[in-house]
Amino acid sequence: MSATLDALALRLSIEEFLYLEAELLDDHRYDDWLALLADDIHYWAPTQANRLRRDRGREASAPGEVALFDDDKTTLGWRVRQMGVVTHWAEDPPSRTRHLVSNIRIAPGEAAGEYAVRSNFLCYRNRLRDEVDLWAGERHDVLRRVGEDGGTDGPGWLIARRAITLDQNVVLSKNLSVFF
Amino acid sequence: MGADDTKLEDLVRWREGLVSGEIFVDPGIHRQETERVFPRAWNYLVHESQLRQPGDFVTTFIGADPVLVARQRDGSIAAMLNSCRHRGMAVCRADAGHSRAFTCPFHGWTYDEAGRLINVPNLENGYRGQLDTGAWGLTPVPRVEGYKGLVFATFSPDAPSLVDYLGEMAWYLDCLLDRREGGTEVTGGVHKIRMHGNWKLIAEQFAGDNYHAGITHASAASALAPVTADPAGATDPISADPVPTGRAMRFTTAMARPGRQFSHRQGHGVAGFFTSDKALTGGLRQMARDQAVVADYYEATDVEVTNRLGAERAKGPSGTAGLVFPTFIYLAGVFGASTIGVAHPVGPEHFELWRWCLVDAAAPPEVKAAMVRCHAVWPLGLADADDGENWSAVQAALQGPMARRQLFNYQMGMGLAGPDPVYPGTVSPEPIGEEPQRAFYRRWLEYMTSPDSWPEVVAD
Repeated sequence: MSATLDALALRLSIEEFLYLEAELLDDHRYDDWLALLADDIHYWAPTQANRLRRDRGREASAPGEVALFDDDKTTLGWRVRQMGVVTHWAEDPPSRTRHLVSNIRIAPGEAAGEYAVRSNFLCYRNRLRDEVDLWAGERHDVLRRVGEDGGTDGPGWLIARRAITLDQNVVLSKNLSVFF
Repeated sequence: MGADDTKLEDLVRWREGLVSGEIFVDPGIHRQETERVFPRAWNYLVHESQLRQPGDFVTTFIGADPVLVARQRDGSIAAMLNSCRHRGMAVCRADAGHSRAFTCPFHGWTYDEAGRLINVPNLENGYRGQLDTGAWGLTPVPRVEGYKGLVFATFSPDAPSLVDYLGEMAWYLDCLLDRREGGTEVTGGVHKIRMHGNWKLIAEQFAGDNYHAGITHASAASALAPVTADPAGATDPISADPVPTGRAMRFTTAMARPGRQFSHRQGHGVAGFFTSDKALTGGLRQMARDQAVVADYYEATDVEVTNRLGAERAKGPSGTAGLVFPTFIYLAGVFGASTIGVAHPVGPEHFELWRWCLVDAAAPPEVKAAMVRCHAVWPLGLADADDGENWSAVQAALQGPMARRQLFNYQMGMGLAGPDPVYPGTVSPEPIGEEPQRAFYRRWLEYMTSPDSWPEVVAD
């Protein structure tokens, strides 16, 4: 029974964290979002090729090949900084986004205090009068517990790694000035 | 309004530096482009390094036409329409791979990597053995030629050779392609993005629009620039508003430094470069780890590159954007990566931008890896964010009849271009200007008004 409660408490804590993250992004609080990322984060979204059936499993670009995102905290910081610059025309006027996160699956991670968390996402962007983008995909996160009992002042977790499968071959939006 | 009832010469008045918005939105004009521009011009297909073994293939487009490109048993590269001769369906729907047979899913006609029809279901009872399979191979793109790893093709029997078509543009392309022994290769993976905007908007931008970088990419420049000790650097270069992080990069000021543009009578262009710069490396070493790795690599190879290209070419045009008419684009040495790509038209309203990371084949693996990561941050990341906004906003504004009838101003630097003591071809004396755009549209007009054949370049 206690093990079940522990698992539920873990799930609640992780769900709350992922919903908080979505809220920060949708509220354009990008600096606060950046603070949720571990200093050693690798934020990666490979491209998705159309392959012959016999090449199934080779759709995603391999590590080291061209990716949609292949960022560390420094380069994510550049993207965040660009969001805040007054001449960032792509966000002037600002877009409206809504990140929906679901299908959360939790497994033990490789290191103590880390969990391998998979989630699906749907991100909707509405811009100017009538521009609409819709991105769907899956995230493979490594979440790292911070603080003795799972949280002190902060949300209790850091995102240590994120691999994003964006379910598009050709990116169908005019940019990827969005975080998943 | 269609192409037939409007004189295209009234829409593209290149001598006066005037271009009508109609050419970006009119469906009739676009249909004429797909018939008169793309099949005749030399279109970029593939980098040789993507097709290493016989049977390796990629699928792409020449204008609106789907094309299958494959390495042959004799080592050559062949291109053919990716469209079955029976009912037209695409016979290959993968982006890339390896295959010796391409079977149409509709009725099973099967072709080999050379496009020969090698199997027809029910050939005996259905066709009574009377089908001449030798006459029903995939429609070939008759001319495929390469330049230092880049492979181009044309349907035109009249076009000059690729090398003649490139002309002096080849001298500038060598900054990208011939830096080191062993040439170049593309890394795995490709960025493909659908943009809202007419294909000519990006073509003319790579041909000649260095001007936009100072404004459009101000936010990216501010985000990238190393911290400056100069207190004045804490304001935005465009608006003079404070930059939140105290970082700024003066792109507009940079545009006033000595530089050049190149334009070519075939419609090619080099958008603009600074004569004294090694590459677009301002602050590269201070940006981040990957950029520092690339900066070290540029420095370590500087002697070899200078020996091969000469001192002037190892600077200046080694850091710029360029276009080979109509849709091959490149970025040479921009923020740690070089990029080659193609902008496929998707109707008059959209284009699809495909971009690969180009590296020196002889570069160490860790340098190639760093360049790949730089390529993800720029151009797909920081640059596209604002470029995509421009193209879509142009396209949206031109939906109205009054807006699209406006003649837009392409007059910067008129009358300034000519020969240069250092740089070959037609050269403008500033790093910004619109001579390449005027040359692009002049050439476009010649294709569009030549009904039957490849348009010869006439002397001025």
